[in-house]
Amino acid sequence: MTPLRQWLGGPGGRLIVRIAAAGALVWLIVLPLAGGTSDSTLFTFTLMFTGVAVAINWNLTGGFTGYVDFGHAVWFGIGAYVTAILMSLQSNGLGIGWPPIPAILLGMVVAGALAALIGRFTMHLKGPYFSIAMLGTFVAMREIVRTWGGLTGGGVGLTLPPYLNRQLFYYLELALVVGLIALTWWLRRTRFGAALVAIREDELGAQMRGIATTRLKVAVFSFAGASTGLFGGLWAYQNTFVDPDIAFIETRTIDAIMGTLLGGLGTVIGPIVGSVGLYWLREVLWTNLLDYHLVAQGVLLILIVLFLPKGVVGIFDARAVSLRKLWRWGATESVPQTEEDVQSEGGHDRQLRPAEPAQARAGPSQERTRVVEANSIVKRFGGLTAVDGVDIEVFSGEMVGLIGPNGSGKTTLFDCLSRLHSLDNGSIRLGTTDITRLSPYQVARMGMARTFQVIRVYRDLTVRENMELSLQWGKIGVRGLFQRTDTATRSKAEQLMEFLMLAPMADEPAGTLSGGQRRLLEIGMALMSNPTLVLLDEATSGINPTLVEDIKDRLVSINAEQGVSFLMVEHNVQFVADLCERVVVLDSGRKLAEGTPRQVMEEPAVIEAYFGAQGRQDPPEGGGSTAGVETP
Amino acid sequence: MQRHGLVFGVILLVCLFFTAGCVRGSSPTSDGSSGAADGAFAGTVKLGAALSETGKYAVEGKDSRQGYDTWVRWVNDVYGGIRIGAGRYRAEIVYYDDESDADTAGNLVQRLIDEDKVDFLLGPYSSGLTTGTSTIAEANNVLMVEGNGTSDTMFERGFQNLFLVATIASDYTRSGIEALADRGAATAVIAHEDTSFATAVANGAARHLEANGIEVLASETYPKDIQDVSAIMTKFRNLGSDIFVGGGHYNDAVLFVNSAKELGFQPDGMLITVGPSNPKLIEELGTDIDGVLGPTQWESTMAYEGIYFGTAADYAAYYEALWGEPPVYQAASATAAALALHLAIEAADSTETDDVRAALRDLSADTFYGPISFDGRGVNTAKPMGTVQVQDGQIVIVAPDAAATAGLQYPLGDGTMGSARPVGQVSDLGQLPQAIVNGIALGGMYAVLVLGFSIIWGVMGVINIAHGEFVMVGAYLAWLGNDLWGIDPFVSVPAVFILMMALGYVVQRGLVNHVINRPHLVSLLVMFGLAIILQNAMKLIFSADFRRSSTSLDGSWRVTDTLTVPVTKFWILVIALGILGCLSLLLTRTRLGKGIRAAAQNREAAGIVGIDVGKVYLVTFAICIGITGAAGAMVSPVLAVQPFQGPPLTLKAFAITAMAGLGSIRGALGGAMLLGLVEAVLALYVEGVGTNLAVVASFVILVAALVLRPQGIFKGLRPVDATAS
Repeated sequence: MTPLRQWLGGPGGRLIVRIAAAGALVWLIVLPLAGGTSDSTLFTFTLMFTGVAVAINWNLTGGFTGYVDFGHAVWFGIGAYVTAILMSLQSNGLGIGWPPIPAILLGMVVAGALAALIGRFTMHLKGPYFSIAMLGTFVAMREIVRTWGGLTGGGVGLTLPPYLNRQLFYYLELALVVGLIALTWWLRRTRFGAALVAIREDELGAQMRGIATTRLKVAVFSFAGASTGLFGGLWAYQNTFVDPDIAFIETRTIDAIMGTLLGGLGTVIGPIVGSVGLYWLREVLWTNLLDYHLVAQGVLLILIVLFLPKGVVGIFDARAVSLRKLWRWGATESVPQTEEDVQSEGGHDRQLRPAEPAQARAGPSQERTRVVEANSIVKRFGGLTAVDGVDIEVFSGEMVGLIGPNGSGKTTLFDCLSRLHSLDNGSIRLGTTDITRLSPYQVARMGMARTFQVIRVYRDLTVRENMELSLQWGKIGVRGLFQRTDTATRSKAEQLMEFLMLAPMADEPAGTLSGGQRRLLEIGMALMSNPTLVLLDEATSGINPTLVEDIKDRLVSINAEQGVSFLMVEHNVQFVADLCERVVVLDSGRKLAEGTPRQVMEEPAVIEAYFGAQGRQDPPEGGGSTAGVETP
Repeated sequence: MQRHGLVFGVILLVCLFFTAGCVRGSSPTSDGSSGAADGAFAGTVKLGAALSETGKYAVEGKDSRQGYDTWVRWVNDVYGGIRIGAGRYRAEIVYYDDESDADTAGNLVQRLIDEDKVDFLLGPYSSGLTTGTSTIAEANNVLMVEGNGTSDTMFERGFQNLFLVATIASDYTRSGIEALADRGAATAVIAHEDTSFATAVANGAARHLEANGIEVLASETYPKDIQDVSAIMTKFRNLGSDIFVGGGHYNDAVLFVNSAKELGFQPDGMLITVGPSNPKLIEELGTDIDGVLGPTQWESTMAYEGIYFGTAADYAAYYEALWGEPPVYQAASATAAALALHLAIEAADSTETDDVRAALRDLSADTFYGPISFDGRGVNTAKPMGTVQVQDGQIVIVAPDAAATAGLQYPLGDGTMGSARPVGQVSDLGQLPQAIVNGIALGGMYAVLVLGFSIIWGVMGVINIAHGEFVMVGAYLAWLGNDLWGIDPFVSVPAVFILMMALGYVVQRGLVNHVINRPHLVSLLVMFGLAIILQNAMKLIFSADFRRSSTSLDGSWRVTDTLTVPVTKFWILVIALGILGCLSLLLTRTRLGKGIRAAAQNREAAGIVGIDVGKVYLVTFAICIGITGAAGAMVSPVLAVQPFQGPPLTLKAFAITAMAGLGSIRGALGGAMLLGLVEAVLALYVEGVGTNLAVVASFVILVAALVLRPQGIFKGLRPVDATAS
């Protein structure tokens, strides 16, 4: 089975899919021309095209972006209603009736615009909250249409001038569905598609790497809404009658979800295979089970969720997304520590090498420009003041350490600098720009990259994809968003992977890497965006000492060759002492000391903060490394 | 898992391929003659109809089909075939099940025309389905004769091929209103469901009221599947009108009669669109319904007679011999539609569409169903609508005079609807106490309905989207006890609680436990699948009919003329508070409660300190499902029990929980009260569409609360954290 499966998932499978798709398309084009094909067959297929289109649109937000919409049919209803209202204006005595094409197009536009508006609010919600908010929107919209009788005909509904040409609708919808499939296929391969996947995998991480997540997810939501609205308008025109209960019907959403899950979430062909399959299946269930077919549908859903989370496509295509992998936020899965990672953390006897970072050669810091400058930063959580009036600055080419006991506010300060937290007071400048009120993605685009204490990589994407996704999002513009990854980005990713020793596992999913390798990957991702400043949050925690040395070497050479500045939160004092000319010590949210590593380690306040009042019997973390600080 | 997936997928694929050959799977069923005298016929006249065998119109669909089949049996076996020229033609009807779905019905009618090549179409059941299918008939120039889609809008389209033998919706109340006007009624209030049919009836009623010099004091709409009309009845009580006209669904009739009684609204006459002609309503409401009027298309006691089938009573006897039950008017309308077509075919002496259409236009015949003669729209205007009144538990015909079997009782005196007059004009502020009482009563109901959902979410992190279905199952259990053994639903609460706990145990063990460690989406989808299964399984067992338990704790306490307290809802509130109190004590004062709270806050940590989290989950789930089922039992006298009552309750539960904090008992109570009050005040103070707005309110509150306060408003067992990134 396995070789067959591999073959099906590889070029052979792709060939089969292509041949099948081409064959199906030819068949569908010829079908109405063949004698004996009745209108009802065409009608059946037209309804099926509608179902497929709605499922594809649902999959754009649900599958690619990870926003599972329980109310998607609302856009169908809105498209249908706008079309119906415009076309029946005359018969309602409200003006001149619109011809169908502009009415349907306006329906599409209205659906898209409303989706953008509502999405702007509801897409701030995550997981189940978004799902249910959309379900609420769906029901509310149906009732609003029902209540707004003057325009919508209320519960009575609207009747359209009948015009039935099954063949015309058949070809129109076939063309639209094929177009939609081509569009998703293409979109999936652009940076836009990649960014959507990044949002699904780790929205916060995506934001911190410069992706304008809100804008993109609302854009795709709006597109899906418009597209479903278009099919809603076409449906209304064909049905010649709309009322709230048939235009806003839950089964359209349920079918889209069921079809997509059955076919395979987050793939291009999944919703197509699934919706068509569901359609076929239902025809059979109709005849053979009659009354039981809805019960069987529920059973089918549970079976898919429990036993076929990747859908039918997932059997052949390893890249299909498991529905179990959605909504894993807060997935603060701890880094698996391999044996070598934890081996002899303190027992590794090393000679302290004097580092020779860029700053050492660049002369006194006064002459250099400030990369970042934060003044009197205050951040409170309820009654707790986590950061209490800290000033911090980093000069270009400088490597600065930020140390302090647990809970001293180091990571909070980082989160403030990278704009993850809003400030209660203070201001931040990046270069010459005030970034106090900017979004994380804007700050990232301006050259401030960071890594995280709990590693954030896109676990289900390969190392290469992770790297290529971390490009300079600010530089590509709107056109670049709709292009594939360019060769420059690719070769840069290649070089960085080589440099960070990740090349051998370039095509492995990032989730399979060891903790240390993931740290390197995270650093690589940060460097992909050509940053001027990188915030490193505990780059060495849980990593074996050999690898720590490697990381150190890499950081030094990046700093020296590219002039990238680093601000690092570290518990490994040795690491900081080796790399940094200047160290800032925090305690209880305040700056306790600042100076060279040596100066601060001799500061009595620092010693007390670290070791308590009884003095300095034991060195800070890192075994005998304090000795190193004292005798360089 | 991977292997399972593969196997399952392969099976699925095989199924798909297997079925690829059966696209035309939906198989027609047909009824011709039993084949007795096939040789004697010169040919076949083929008719087709899409009818609902499943879905919400399954019952009426079955009646319609029996009506059509009555004609087929009669025309082939008794009459000897349709007479065309010198020959006799066998009648055959091809049926498909439209699943009560508009898209499906349209598709099937197209299939009847294209593939089965039927000569004529007979109508489906309901205005909604007739509207869409008649369009297809019109476009294909096939005649459709129908008796069960009566909305006026269908006949304003200028269609040439659609004919209705029944009285059109806008004339439903005509004979009743004329009779009431004769007896001196001067003012009226109207309440109607905002669907196509009910709106047409109400608009017609308004017209007839005006024509007869009766002033309409107020007109209110309400959405389909309404569960509470107390706001509408409060308004009407305070307006003091002579008669009440209203309705839409069978269930609405129950609500109106009960609510009028609860609130002390006693008009001189009540004319309810759907329900009074159905003997089931008398069974359900007993003497409370005495005096209520209602329209009827046809009754077997009506004094109509025709050349075919004989009198109405003869027809009823023939029908009953065939099907073992007396005909309802939907069946008679269906038979009459087929009969009208039959008469036109014979008059035209042809099966050509144009000839038969002309013959239908010219048709003027007396039948068992009443006179049939179509106007330019295709509507039978010859047959008046009958009006029935429930008198001493009997349905009698009181109008029109030609068909009447008894005199109209008006105004209603002692011993029927009561003798007190409506209270007259009440200021806006004067209505507030009643709004608050209604709101609190509603809130108490919501609180007990929400609790289980809130705690399961708070403790286990599982969004039980099948919550409403557990309420429904509990309600059915109570109804069963009530129906079979006459147990009061309040008495059966403990038993339902225990049974539902057992169900909760099974569901948790068999299903929830397997997905509890996975992301929310998995448990959400699994529970959604379970909801679909429960809904449809209950429908298969109990049908989609609305049921209602009866309790001795009903009626109302009258505090003042403008303030009454509904007894059933009061006791629900009391028991709800009791349950909330017990649960609160359980959570705060017992070791089990501590375990539950610990597991809610951090399951790993709870596990480490020795709490058996699995057991805690099991107990929590079982208790919550038990409470949810018990809540269903308690509300079964108030909310109609039906398989699809769950989803709106789940959404309300979500709205209240998201507002009030996950697993917070006080929050659940507060949120429920707030929602109840908002709904009651909106429904009472907004003119015309207040009840519709009240239904929207909870969804708007839900979306607004989530968007504005994604971090939650109140603190619960686990934090609401709805912000994406």
